[in-house]
Amino acid sequence: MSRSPARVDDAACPIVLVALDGSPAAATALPIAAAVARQIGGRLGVLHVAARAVSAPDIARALGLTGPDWESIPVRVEVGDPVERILRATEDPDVALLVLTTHGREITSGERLGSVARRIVARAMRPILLVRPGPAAGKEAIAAEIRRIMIPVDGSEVTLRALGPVLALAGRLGAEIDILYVVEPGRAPRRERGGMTLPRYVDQPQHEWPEWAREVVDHLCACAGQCVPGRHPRVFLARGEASDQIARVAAARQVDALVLVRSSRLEPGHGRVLLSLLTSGPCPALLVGANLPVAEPTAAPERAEAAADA
Amino acid sequence: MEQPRSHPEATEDAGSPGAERAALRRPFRAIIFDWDGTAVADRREHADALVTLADALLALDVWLVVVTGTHYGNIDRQFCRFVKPELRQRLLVCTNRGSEVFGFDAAGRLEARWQRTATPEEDRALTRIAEAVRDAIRQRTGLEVGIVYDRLNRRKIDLIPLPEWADPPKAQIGALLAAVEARLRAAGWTGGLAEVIHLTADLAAAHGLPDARITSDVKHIEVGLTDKGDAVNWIRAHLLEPQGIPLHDVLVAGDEFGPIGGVSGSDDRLREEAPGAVVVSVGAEPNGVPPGVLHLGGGPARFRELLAEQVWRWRRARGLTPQPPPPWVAALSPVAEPAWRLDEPTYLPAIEHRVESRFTVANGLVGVRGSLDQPTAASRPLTLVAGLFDTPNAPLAVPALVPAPDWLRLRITLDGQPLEIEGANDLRYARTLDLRRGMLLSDWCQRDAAGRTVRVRSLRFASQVERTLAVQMLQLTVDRPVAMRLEVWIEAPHDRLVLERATPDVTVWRTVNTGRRVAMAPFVQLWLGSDPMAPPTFRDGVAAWSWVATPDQPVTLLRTVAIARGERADPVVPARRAIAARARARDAGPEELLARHVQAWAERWEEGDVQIEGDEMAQRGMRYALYHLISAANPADERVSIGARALTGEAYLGHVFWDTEIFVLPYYIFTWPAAARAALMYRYHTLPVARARAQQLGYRGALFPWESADTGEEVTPPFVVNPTGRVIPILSGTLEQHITADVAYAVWQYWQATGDLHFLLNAGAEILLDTARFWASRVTWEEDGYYHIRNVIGPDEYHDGVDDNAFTNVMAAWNLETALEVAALLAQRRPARWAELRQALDLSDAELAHWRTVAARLFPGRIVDGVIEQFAGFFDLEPIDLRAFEPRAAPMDVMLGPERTRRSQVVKQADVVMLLALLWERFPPHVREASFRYYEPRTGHGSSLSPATHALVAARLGDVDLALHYVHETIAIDLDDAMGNAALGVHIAAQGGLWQAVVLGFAGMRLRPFGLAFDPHLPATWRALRFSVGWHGRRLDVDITQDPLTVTLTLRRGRSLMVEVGDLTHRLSHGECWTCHRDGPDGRWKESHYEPVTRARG
Repeated sequence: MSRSPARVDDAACPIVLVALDGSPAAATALPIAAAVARQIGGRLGVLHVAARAVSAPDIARALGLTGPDWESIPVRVEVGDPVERILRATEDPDVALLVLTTHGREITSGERLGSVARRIVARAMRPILLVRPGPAAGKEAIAAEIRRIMIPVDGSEVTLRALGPVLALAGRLGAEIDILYVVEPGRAPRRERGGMTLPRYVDQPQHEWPEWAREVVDHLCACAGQCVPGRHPRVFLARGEASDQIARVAAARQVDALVLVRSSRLEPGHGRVLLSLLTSGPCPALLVGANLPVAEPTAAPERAEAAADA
Repeated sequence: MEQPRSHPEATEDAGSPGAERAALRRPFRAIIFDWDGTAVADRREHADALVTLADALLALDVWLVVVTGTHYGNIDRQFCRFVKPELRQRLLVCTNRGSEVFGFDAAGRLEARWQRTATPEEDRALTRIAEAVRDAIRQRTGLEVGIVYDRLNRRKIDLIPLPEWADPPKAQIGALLAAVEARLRAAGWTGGLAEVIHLTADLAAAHGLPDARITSDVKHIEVGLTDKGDAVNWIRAHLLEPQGIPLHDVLVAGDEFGPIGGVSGSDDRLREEAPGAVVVSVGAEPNGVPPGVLHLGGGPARFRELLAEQVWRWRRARGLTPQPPPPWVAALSPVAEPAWRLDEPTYLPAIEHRVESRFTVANGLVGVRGSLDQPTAASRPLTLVAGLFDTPNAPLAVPALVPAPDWLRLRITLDGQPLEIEGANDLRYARTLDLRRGMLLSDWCQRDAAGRTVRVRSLRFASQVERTLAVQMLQLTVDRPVAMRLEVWIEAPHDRLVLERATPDVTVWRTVNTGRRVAMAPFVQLWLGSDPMAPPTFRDGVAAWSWVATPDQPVTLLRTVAIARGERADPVVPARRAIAARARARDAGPEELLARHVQAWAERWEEGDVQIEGDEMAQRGMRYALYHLISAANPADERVSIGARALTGEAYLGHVFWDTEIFVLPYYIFTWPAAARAALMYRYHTLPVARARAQQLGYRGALFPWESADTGEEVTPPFVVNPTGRVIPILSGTLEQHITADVAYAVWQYWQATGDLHFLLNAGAEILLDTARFWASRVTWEEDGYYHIRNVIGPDEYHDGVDDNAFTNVMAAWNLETALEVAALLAQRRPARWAELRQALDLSDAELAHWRTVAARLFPGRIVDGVIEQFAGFFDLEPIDLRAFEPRAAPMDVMLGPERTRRSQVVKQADVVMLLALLWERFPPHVREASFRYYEPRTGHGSSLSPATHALVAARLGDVDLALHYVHETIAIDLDDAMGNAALGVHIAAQGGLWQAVVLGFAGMRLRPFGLAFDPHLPATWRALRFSVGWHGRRLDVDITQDPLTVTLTLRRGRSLMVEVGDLTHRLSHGECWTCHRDGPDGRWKESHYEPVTRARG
């Protein structure tokens, strides 16, 4: 399929906005945010939301944003509810990406996401790069550029439609794309009319698989309304529990970011695969939200939700 | 689909309020209009639509007068030179703000009609005035002010000579005014633009030009000797009065009548000097318009709407009633009966490739996927030409069908704006595959940005009569008058084709490596009513028409392209063939082209339709299958065969597999023998290559390739990188040798069904003998006293490198036996030919005797408890309960992984079951039953070939429910979106398999030496099954009904034949109708009655 190159948006100099709460954990998002901003030819914006007024230079000093690399970075300080402030800041049409850590100062024991991150993830309409702080995703490791992005798909058209902004961002990053199709044993094939399925019949694998891979890419383009960037997007197939397989293949392919589509509001019992990968994924997650209905589903089976999240 | 509105007054509702509309609701004899901002948005705009409208109005004797401030060159570049020369006589161009008038002579040559010449004193005075204004502003404000000197009879004082305001569009006049005012006031010029104008007037009087015309376009103050009012005065005196055109028959259009910056707009002088004329403004007019001016707004687009409405009004005023469409346009209406059509009511990008595959039109030579008439980014438009193979320049690359140039490209433009499907308003796009007539119809309707609705109905087909011809018909209808443009072209070819020759008549391309040619000779016509419009203009290979479309007059595009393929040594012939075919198409005309195509399809359906009553899905699936089977064949070409996806997609590269002989050909053998014969002749012509292949591998005879393209060489890709990232060697090219027996099987089946002795003598026998010779050399004698065939792949490709695959061994034995049978037949009936063949093939009696020994002692496979072992050791493999994997979203080898699959009893597709289907009589009933019951639950159906074969065998065994399940599975392969396969092309073997499941399975038809036998088992829901089959030139109609199960056979054509139903036999004479039914507790068949008259079929 021939299409014009993807763009993040019309912004000549898009903003990569990193949201901080003053904690060292949150600050680990800074290097990767800076790297992404450089990579897409955009600019870094730092948003600090605090409970009380504090000056931007003080915050910059507190965050260690000193020295020639950091002095030119605008630091915006806002007072109020961090979720509302951060979400409002992402309404700026120039914001191409929000970067934040899975948690900042506090995280409830047993939770995978901090409360702020969870609420933002559940509501944000912009792509979010969600970085896990701590040694498992150390500062040096995540400061590298994003050169390979993996998009796990389950064939759902709703999921595929949500990927337009990610593909646009990937195009701007110049990243190569791996598409991973996961087959979960025991799960029925999707019956969606616009969905993508594995071929039921593989008459001759030497013909069927290459053509299927091509069709997956084309189908993703058609649903997302964006071409898949990169010269050779590759399509992989894995069989097994979705989050395990995604983590396994992502690690094996040494991907720099894993695209996850949020198709629920992450109420209890929903978003199993997504939350699992945020916790145990081998790399930062690039989240996008599917267009959810206003009335949130309440009785959807967990399995279906989990699959869509993958 | 809803028709666009066609009532003329509907247009007016969308425009200005009622009172104003009334003034415009009549034709005007002259239209005086401003240029910049009224006729065009800027000087770079392509004014194609305006030219089209002007041509139409001039042709209707309307006078057009351009009144502009700029010079003639600018108008000519965008407009005058494109107006048809023969029409220009009624065009006047008043330039340089009323200082010049140009007209044209009868030949369209430019003539200067009038010019106001300034005296040297006036000229110097103008300069002095401009410079005095500039100096005054400079002195007071220090602002930079520019002067444009080189204008005829005027000077322009530039109040904002800044780069960002160098060429402001008219649409930004409000912003421009604000910028100018701000600039002046910020510098202390508090009176703004108005004060500059007053100053200019004062200075003009002071410098001796009290009558100087002072105007402003906001950026400039212009001081000159004339203005647009002078132009109008000249027009009144020299055009309107001599022509007797009263001012109320004049329409004046501009965009700047209202005051700007305190002074009248530059077009207001048009109004002042044309009292009584209808005056309209299409400009933004931020400060309103003077009394008497109808403010329409909308800019040049609205002005063109006005012109288009004028065209329509004049046509009606002149009594130019719409012409009725040509009668053949009725073909755009699809067949009504649901069982004869496949519908796709919407355009959904996500499923577009699937729709394209299903909706392909083809004729065995040319295949055209069912893409949108105007493809989007989600489309994969594709025209394939059978046999047009090329091999890419890549390591281990194999030949592939090369996409032919796309002959269907078109662009529809409404008022200068291309119609785009993506992002369209109120898009409706329905496609219908008319199975009965073999054509694709579409009905596309959308609104453009201006609110106009356009409807495009189309059809396309690949001619069943003259296979070189592909035809597109397209009817365009609008709901408002509008300038329309239609461009059609052949898209630049795929990178595997190089352009070899391009003339107005024909274009020839050559494949890069194989040197094959494809020639295309298009013939395009646009029909207005029943008459073709003037030929299109051609530019860079694009044919274009421009016209003013009106709601009451649809136009119809007819595009025919003749496509011919040629070989390497054949550079000229394809072009000649294409040109000749195009000439024949042109001579025949659209009506005959259509009628002959429809008639050809009717004949095919007459010979080969299958009617199923009581199962809508089965009936629809069957018709779909037969449509594609008919579309795939070309009885006239023995050099190509039918690829795994026919001509419906690029997948499988056009390669030919056993699919053709085993799954597809039976339909042709029994309904269209010429098509079967051509495909078998393809194998005959590639026999020398098959011999070489056998020799290369150390065998004798002929080994047909697992995958074959144009030459008959083995072209199976040697490996694949599967989606798990593993490199999987593909061994089918060397080990899946059963195809050799499969070809022989088809040859024999064809001979048995047709009695085509000529084919047998000149091609078929040689194939049978050489394939038998291969098997005799392929086997190995072992100490157990049997010949064995080791290291092969059977139809079940999950298990490779197996020994004694039952399918391969038994088919090989059958091949040897059949070769001996044909040898005996020829020796007895055609001894001379037999002698020739023996000599040519160097066949000795000893070799024939050896074949007999091999056939008799070829290991047939173990049979345990009536179950044939699929291959040696199969019974020892891991049993897998496939039900444990349900529901399942992937083939079993994906679920288990290839290694475990290989170690298991999971079967990819019918293997032993396939053997039962092909050689039913060879096995006793208990073996058939036991083997089917054993393998059916072990089969994962990882191939589209599998369900139909299971349906056939289950039906023959009387398990009609299971058979019906598999029939529906077969239908779903292409028609159910959840299968994940349809996007890549139609599974033509599954379609052939479906016919076999129904005719050979449910009807239980089998070949007999004397005729045909039937043993029907119908599903309970099927009220009736009807079809026709051929045998030795006869045509037999078969009608099977339920309650009681009744078979009625009617011999429509040919001499008598023996028929058998159950244990009844009967010699059926020409025209005779014989009926029998199953009766009584023993279920035996009883003759009902027969009548020696032809009964009409239901």
